[in-house]
Amino acid sequence: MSSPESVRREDAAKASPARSAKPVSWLGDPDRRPGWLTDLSMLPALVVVVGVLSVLTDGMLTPSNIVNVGSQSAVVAIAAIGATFVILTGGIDLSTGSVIGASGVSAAWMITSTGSVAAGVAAGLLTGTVIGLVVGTVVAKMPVVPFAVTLAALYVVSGATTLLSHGKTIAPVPAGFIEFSIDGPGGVPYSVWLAVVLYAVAQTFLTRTAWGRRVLHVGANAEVARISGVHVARTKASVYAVAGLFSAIAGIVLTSGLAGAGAGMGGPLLLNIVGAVVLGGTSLFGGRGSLLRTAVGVLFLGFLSNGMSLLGLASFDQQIVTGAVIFIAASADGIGRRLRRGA
Amino acid sequence: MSSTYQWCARALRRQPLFPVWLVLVLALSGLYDEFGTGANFRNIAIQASPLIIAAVGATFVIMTGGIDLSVGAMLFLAAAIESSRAFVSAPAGVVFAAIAVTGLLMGLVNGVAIALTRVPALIVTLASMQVFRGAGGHITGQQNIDLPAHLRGIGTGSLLGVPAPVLLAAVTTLGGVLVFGRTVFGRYLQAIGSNRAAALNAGLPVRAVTIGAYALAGVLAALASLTQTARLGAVQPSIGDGYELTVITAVVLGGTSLFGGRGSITGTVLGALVLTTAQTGLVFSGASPYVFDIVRGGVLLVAVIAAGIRWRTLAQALRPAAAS
Repeated sequence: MSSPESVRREDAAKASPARSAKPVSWLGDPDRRPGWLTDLSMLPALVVVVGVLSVLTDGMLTPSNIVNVGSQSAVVAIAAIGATFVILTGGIDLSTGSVIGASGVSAAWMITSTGSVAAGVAAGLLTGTVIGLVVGTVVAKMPVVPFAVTLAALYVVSGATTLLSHGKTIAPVPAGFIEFSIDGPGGVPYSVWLAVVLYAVAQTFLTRTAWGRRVLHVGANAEVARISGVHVARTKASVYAVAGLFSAIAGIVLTSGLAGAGAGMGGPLLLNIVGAVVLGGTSLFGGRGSLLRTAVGVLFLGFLSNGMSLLGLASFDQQIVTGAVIFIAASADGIGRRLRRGA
Repeated sequence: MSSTYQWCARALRRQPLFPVWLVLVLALSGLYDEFGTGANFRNIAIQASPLIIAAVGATFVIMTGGIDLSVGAMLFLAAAIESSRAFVSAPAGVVFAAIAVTGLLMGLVNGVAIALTRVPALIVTLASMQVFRGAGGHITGQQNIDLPAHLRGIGTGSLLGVPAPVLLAAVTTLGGVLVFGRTVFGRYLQAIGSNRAAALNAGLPVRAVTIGAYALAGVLAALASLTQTARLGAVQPSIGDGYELTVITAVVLGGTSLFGGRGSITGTVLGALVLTTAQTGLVFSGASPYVFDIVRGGVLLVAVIAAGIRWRTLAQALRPAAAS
């Protein structure tokens, strides 16, 4: 019998001994390796950096300093959740920093004018989500490059926020609101606990819900996703809206940490937010990545900047190092991709 | 008669921005008496010069389908090096050469990383933007530094009544048009931007041309920095802040596609003129400088959407022809 069926079976029989002769451990086989192991591929780099910095400085790994790193990283960490979802679809959101400013300012304005923290938080969340939804709708529905739309949104939002707040810092906010980023259970600020909880929730959403699968699917191959019945435009728009929501949460936490809000407070965070996602190993081309990776990236940048401060580096020197680290990490990602494809 | 009409229609289709600029200028001249004066137009031309120079460089990059967010930071680092102590007593020629080399190196850093690793240019230049700006801050110590008098000639001098910055911008534009339209390099840029895979298969030196585009953008950013600082007479930490938006808006407004492959230098120059005219108009109206942030952001958004829609209708118009 020489039906195609039997030929295929023979091939399979021929192929299988070869495969079994050289057993691949589950560590080396990407298909059988648990996802969390891939997710933690940047962990060794984090350990090395923390190790080197703790030798160079005094008091890097004291409990109080670790809590310090956590509270300093909370804002970037929360905003980076949204950025991860956007980058997973193959997009980019440059407006994150200005949305942080806008939602922080609207939250602070609501708190100072009504005295109600709940109303302020609601106003902040609404501001961020609405901006994100508008940006996402334009990106998803129009034949445009995401970065151009979000770059335009960055300046429109920051300009409008500065105009509406007359370029002033909006303060004072109640002491209980400020307490949120200072104190909490176990001496760890509430803001850090919030970030941890949000990471757990977001990771669950990414890996355990249909929406999360759709995000990964759209990022891996939008055309295949469309053919298999995924509403690509709606998924893309939703991702930017989610990014707006998380930027808003980050903006509110930052307002609590600074005891007030100004339009320009989020702008300098953009590179750290995008950088944390890239450093963690989420692919800029979309489709591959997770919140666990971003968490590693956030901790990497957090410890790096804390260590540089302990070493007494000036802010512009820290800027050089952070930029260079992200530059190298992004280039290494590209080179690794080429090597894998070439092999 | 009808040939004149056809010529006008063709020119309009090729450069739809020109009437927009004309209307803008006429409207602002009608609104403000001071606007329509020779002195003001001269001022606008001088102000637009650094933007034109930097935007011509960015056009080359965007033509390859890339992007350079670090242009403002390159402006700042070049200015910082110009103001550094090492150059206080150096002759102007040496300083200008050093600035040009700085620009070339910055452009090469971007170009090599992008061409060799194929990482999105957006991320590479976002990171290098921080490195350049940090390095500039390191050199200046975030202080305002006055430039020595012999370095200001390029901003205040003039030749036959034409201000030096305008002259530089004109030379850059002419050079850009020639390189773009009359050289192999220019044709390769367009080929890479319209279809990188096809360009690779055709055996074009894709990497070298990509690196060349970023290097050129770096040199022109340095030249823009030189004109800008010479006019201001000082180097401030805020130089080039948010400049990437203005530059990209000018390029996109001029009709260059962010997807690469299609665009023009003259369009970019017109885009820069429209933006500078609008900015001057806003100054006349007494609006807060932040309004300009909103305006240029809004203009970029509208231009990008308009270009996208035009592209889509064009693609739809072409589809039946291709099918038959």
